[in-house]
Amino acid sequence: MEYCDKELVEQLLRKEKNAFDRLYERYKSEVYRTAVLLTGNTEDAKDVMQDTFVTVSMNIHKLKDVAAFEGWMYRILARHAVHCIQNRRHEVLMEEVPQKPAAEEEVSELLCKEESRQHVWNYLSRMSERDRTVLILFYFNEFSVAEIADILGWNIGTVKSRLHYARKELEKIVRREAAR
Amino acid sequence: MKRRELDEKMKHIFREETSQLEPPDTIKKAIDRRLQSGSEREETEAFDEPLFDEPKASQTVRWSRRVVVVLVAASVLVFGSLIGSSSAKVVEERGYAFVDPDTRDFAELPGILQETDYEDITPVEQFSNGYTFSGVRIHYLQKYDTKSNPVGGLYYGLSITYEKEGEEVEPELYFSPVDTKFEVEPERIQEVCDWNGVQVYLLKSIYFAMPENWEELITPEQQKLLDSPVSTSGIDPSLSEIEMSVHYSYVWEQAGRRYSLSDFHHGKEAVEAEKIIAKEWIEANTAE
Repeated sequence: MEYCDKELVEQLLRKEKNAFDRLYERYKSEVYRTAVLLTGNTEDAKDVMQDTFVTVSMNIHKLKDVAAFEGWMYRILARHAVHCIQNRRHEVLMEEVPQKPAAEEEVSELLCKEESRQHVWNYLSRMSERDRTVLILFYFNEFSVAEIADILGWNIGTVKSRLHYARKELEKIVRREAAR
Repeated sequence: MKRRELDEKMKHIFREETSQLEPPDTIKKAIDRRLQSGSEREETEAFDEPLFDEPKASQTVRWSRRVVVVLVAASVLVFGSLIGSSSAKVVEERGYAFVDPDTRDFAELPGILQETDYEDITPVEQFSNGYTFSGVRIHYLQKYDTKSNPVGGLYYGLSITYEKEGEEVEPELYFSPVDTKFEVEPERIQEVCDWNGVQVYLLKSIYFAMPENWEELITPEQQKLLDSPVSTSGIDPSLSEIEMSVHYSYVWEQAGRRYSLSDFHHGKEAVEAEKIIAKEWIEANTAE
């Protein structure tokens, strides 16, 4: 039987048997993939995923609005991912800026190239945690600007401006990659 | 359009690149072990707290002296009446823009207008006097109350610059949303026009660009001039001396936006060109 989010959360709140398992099955792939994107590697992503589901299970009674479960869960996920990255204290060395930018080519066309596609992880790892999180929530999780604002606890205008910068940054990085 | 294509392609790539990723079964087992061990505790951290500090304008600024002057000047010239006339306890508007235009390609302007909530504006690429679009900058704006607390969210102003081959005058058209009463000192009004039912004012301003320690530097003569109704001022942290200049701006309100058209480097010699630009912009943005 297929349950909606609201039913699953209510089952979990009532501590029904298998309620957590059903919730886990619903979100496991999406949460894991988001964790990989946010942390940049599968080892950290496993830890972040564990922490996220444990936090969800232990704190579900604090959820104020059952309908807002998904945003609440991603807020927890993003928080664990950022803590993980900060604890890792791993600095990614910036690569040298190429001399010739690929100004003439459309960024969207460049992204279609296989070699550029392989650099998606590189693009993300070079971005600030803040911009990377906004990009992932927007592009991968396909949250709206308003939903991202809710997850990050920001104003909508702030998310819009960060998204604007993140896009600009992405364009620059893609062009640099293409000029290599 | 290009931005939308980029967005769609990015979404596709994110999906495709991660489609093979599945969490190993060991994760669920580890979660179950942790939940059953009884050692896990409730989080004391408030989930409602922002994950990152919300970026403030001053933290992300790549200040350019010219941009600062232009923005502060535009704000003061256009919003000179802001202080004291707003009911929302807003006392200050601060903002920033980048040194380089966000784009020099007119084809990208509709996308920027859409992104900054100006999608109903009809931009003009070239005016009858030969001035042609040369770039657009997005200004990220925030209002603050008396205690420097932000009021409302970030919003946008846009400045569109025009140029003409062989001419030094480069008019800049700046606009942002209107939410305060438009008041202007009568001494500043040089001319009032009515184009397509829109009241357009040509205003004269003596603009003082001030360093942060301006009070220590200002002379009695400068102070006297600064106190006159024609003068406006703005703080530019990059300055070490007080700079004074005379500006002429066409200012008007249309469709909920306040516009200011001026060239901050060429004073009255820019007025003739700007009159045509202002008139034709208003015509292009007047509903049939």
